[in-house]
Amino acid sequence: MAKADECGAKDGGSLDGEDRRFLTGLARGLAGALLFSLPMLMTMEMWFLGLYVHPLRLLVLCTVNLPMLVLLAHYIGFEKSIGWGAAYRDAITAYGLGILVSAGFLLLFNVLGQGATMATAVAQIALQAVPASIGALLGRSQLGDSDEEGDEEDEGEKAEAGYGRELFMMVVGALFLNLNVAPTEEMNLIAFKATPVHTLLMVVTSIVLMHGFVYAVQFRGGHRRAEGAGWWRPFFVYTIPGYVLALLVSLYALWTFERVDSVSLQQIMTTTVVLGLPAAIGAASARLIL
Amino acid sequence: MGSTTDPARSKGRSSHLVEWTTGLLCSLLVAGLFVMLVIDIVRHRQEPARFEVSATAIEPAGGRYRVTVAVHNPSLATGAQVHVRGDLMRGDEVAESADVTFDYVASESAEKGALFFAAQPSPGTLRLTVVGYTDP
Repeated sequence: MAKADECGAKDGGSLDGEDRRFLTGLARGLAGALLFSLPMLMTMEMWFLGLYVHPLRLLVLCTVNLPMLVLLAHYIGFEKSIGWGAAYRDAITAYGLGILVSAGFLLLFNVLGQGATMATAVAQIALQAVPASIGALLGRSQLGDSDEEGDEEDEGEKAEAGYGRELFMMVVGALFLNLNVAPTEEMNLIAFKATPVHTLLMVVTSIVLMHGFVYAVQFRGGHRRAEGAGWWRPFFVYTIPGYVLALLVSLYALWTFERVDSVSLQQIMTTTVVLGLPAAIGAASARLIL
Repeated sequence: MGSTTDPARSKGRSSHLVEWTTGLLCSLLVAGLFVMLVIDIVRHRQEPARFEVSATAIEPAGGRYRVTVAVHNPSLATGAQVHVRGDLMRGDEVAESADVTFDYVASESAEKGALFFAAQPSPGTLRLTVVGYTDP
């Protein structure tokens, strides 16, 4: 944001390359925030959640979001992040964009302000700002030109990516898809309709899809197995931990949205597996596209 | 000697160890999930949902009385639109009624809600029943 102010303070001259690049990044971030959060901004359950979400759980979600954005920005920020300072600036910018987009569109849809107190309005915006801010950061990576300078360097960085980064990206992907569906009534309904056999099949489907996405189908950016290497290495080192992370993120999302209170352990397990399916797809996709 | 002091190789080995340890721990967790799901499959049976409804608190609220009701479903089936009615009895006559509908009462779970009455209910005069439900 500081950059934008500096740019505004320039004596009416044309924007130099760096400012233009930052503003382009900002526009992409705005587009990303909208593209990724509009489905949630137009979901009724998300508006109602703002009325009853536990304040402490909301605070945890919003607090956890910040270091997650910083880490994400460190890899795929508005501008090629070179250090933690720049990553922090990018993360805060994305968070700010997320809040602006959420507040703006909730006002546009006339969801805020109708008998709502300030506290519920803030809760409604805060809930939506989390996926919107992730979208803002992802927007830079997803909406950028493929022939843009620096992309080659990005690829090089990706190739050197450590195991921790891979797992982190899976968490972000899982959380992102999770936030889109976790608050909906359908998650509970699918869990209630599922018999234990269905639940077991959902686990198997999630794992197979996850592994298939990244290894068998060999999308662009997907991992290729080294010649002669067994299928089991990527399966045990990436797919299974990725699925466990997807389940943990699902459980966290269900806890945040108060879907695990006063229900049995068996029911919590079933709902987590149901939500784990989109989370697993999100985690696998994140490894492909981020 | 070279192999023991080569930092790149020892770094590679330690990252390998981290990856395999994570893989092993997560495999155990997924195996645990499978075991729990198989146990569920074994004990699963088709049965109708059952409900136990009780009053957990009676307190004054805005000139009326609020009765907090808890519906427990000990069965393995989930009930939807669970309709609970409370009748305040005066002798054999129903003096006052109130009802509430729970969206879902999940299997082996409990939900809470409240009924409001003008007259003060007591455990002797309050009759709570589940009137009906649908399958989800």
